[in-house]
Amino acid sequence: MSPQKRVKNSQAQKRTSQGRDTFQTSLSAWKVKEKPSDSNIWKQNNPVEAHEHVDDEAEDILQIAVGYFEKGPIKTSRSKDKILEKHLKTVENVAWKNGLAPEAIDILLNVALSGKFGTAVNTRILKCMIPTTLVSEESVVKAISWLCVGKCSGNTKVLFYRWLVAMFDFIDQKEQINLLYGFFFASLQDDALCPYVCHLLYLLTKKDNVKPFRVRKLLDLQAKMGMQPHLQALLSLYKFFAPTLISVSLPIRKKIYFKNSKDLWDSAVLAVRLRNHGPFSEPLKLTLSPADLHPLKRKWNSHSVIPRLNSGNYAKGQGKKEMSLSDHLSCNRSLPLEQLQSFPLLLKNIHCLELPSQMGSVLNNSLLLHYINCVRDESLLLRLYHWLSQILQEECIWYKVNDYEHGKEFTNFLDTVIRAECFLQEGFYSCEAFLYKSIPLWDGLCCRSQFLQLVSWIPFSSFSEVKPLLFDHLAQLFFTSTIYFKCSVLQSLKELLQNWLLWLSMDVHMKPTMSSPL
Amino acid sequence: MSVLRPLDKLPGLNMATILLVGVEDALLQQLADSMLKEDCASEMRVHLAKSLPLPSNVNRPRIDLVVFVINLHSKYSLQNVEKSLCHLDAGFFLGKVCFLATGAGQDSHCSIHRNTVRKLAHTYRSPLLFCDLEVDGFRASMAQRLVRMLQICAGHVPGVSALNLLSLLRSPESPPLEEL
Repeated sequence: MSPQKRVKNSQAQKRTSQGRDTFQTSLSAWKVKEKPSDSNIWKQNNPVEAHEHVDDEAEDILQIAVGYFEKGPIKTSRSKDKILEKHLKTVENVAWKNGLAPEAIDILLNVALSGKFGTAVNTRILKCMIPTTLVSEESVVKAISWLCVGKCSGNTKVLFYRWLVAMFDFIDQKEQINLLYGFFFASLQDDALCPYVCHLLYLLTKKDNVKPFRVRKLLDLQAKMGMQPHLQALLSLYKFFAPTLISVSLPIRKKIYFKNSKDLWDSAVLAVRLRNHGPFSEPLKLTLSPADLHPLKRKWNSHSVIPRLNSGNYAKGQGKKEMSLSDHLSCNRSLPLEQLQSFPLLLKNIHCLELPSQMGSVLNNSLLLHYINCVRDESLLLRLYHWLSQILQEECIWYKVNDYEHGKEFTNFLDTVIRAECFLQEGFYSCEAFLYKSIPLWDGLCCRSQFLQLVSWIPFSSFSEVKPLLFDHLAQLFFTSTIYFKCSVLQSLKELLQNWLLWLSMDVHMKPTMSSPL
Repeated sequence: MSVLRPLDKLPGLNMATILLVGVEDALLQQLADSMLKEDCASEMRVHLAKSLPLPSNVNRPRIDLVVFVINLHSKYSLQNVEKSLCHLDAGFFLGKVCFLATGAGQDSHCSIHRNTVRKLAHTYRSPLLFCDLEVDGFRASMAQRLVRMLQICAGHVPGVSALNLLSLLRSPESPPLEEL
């Protein structure tokens, strides 16, 4: 009830505030004061009163603050600074504690980008724009429309793009935003915005967004600005979708493309993810037919870092859209991943499967793991390995000395990775690199079984290579540990040997004429 | 200048003494406390020292294991250890010396490269252990490890001597690990 009222309120504001008439503020002030009565009615329905009462009061204060921003700056005395400060603080406190409701985000985004207040205020508003659970697509589209008007400063635009990249996963649908692809692409001209817009486009691009004129434009930009990592990222992504369009050779093993521009919101994003998915539960078993795939209600595997499977193409309605004849003829329609329910369906659609924008989400989905196993695509695996090595580096608890509480999450994440390795019956390159890097620092106790299981999945290589990297450090731990540790190590080494033998025996079957390396 | 010798004194009955050398007082104290909490069949003594040589007027038992604690965040800590190494008799380096590097987890704060301490350990033919002593969990497991090593070095584990252990723990000439 009240959100609708507020939306209408804002519409009224927009129409009348064109003339900057200060008299209409009294009308909205009256409307804002009405809110407490609504919340009183709401309060009566809830049995738990004391707690709700405090919440309601906080809600009221927030609504008053939001209403104040909506009104626009009152051209009066200096006391407005104090009031402004007070309301800003309210909004910030609520945002960092619980997050803001989608309607509040809607209003505040418009306020920040319409330039009614100064840049400093806009910056502060954007920095605290943390959603409770999600951000609605319309508010993002409305905010982007403000960018065209050009009322906000360059720095605000940069901050807005950074915010968009950070909160990208929480936008509920992205169809309309994808339609604005051309607008974003045009913003690449602006040097200051270029890196952040590139990052956004990297997240947003789909196969049909890759057009020859865009490729030409990117190559022109690269010629102008030189080999920038963000342009390279976008070009590599384009090359992955349409390899025929790009003939330039791009370096493939690039570690980091984009600067971490979302660090302002890192802790907040983690909090939102936890709110969305709840605290970690027991890891689910990987089955061939993944259970209920409804995107909003999915009960996720424990770790909140593995991104949700999102093809971005998912139609809102449940029924399929009517396919026109041209769609049938062209094979361009790609199967949205949420509909991939069973193995036969995978087999039927294997040629037009659209991969998720976040490669990490394949770790949870057994069908997609099948898919990446069969498809001989280097760039797919590279994307996955790149993401995996970044996450392992960032989340490893013996690097984050102060965050020992993340231990359980990290353990669960390692469990997922190990299950994926087991399923594919081969090890990931990133895990191997992670092992070699972190085993000197390992204390032998932390995530012990996961670590030793990772050891048993190391790909086959000659002993002289592996010895200094792995076995010497393992020996140091082995000889100074308890008998239980020694047994665990022997067990995992036995499994390692088994895996190597299996791998070699398959190899021998495939190439019977070549002499074996042993 | 008194030099610490391994076989100066007679061993005490069922006694094992460890000497922790390092400039980080707080960390050493915490490590000592963790070690004393561990179950040990022998009577364990922990001595702390900022540097060698030790004052000669004190009556102390025979030292079985010397652990040099180097904080990778501070160059002074490394210099101190290097100076102290001169005051140790060569007999100690047959398995009764160990290097412990702390602070390796936070790469951004490290002013000493890990390869420097690796080279140091390799020069003195002694094992090198890494542990972030500030974290309780890691410190506790390292304390357990040191207690086991101490028992072997004091000769309380039948069939294994300090030199045996050294030959098992030491890695032969290995190239430094480059960025993978």
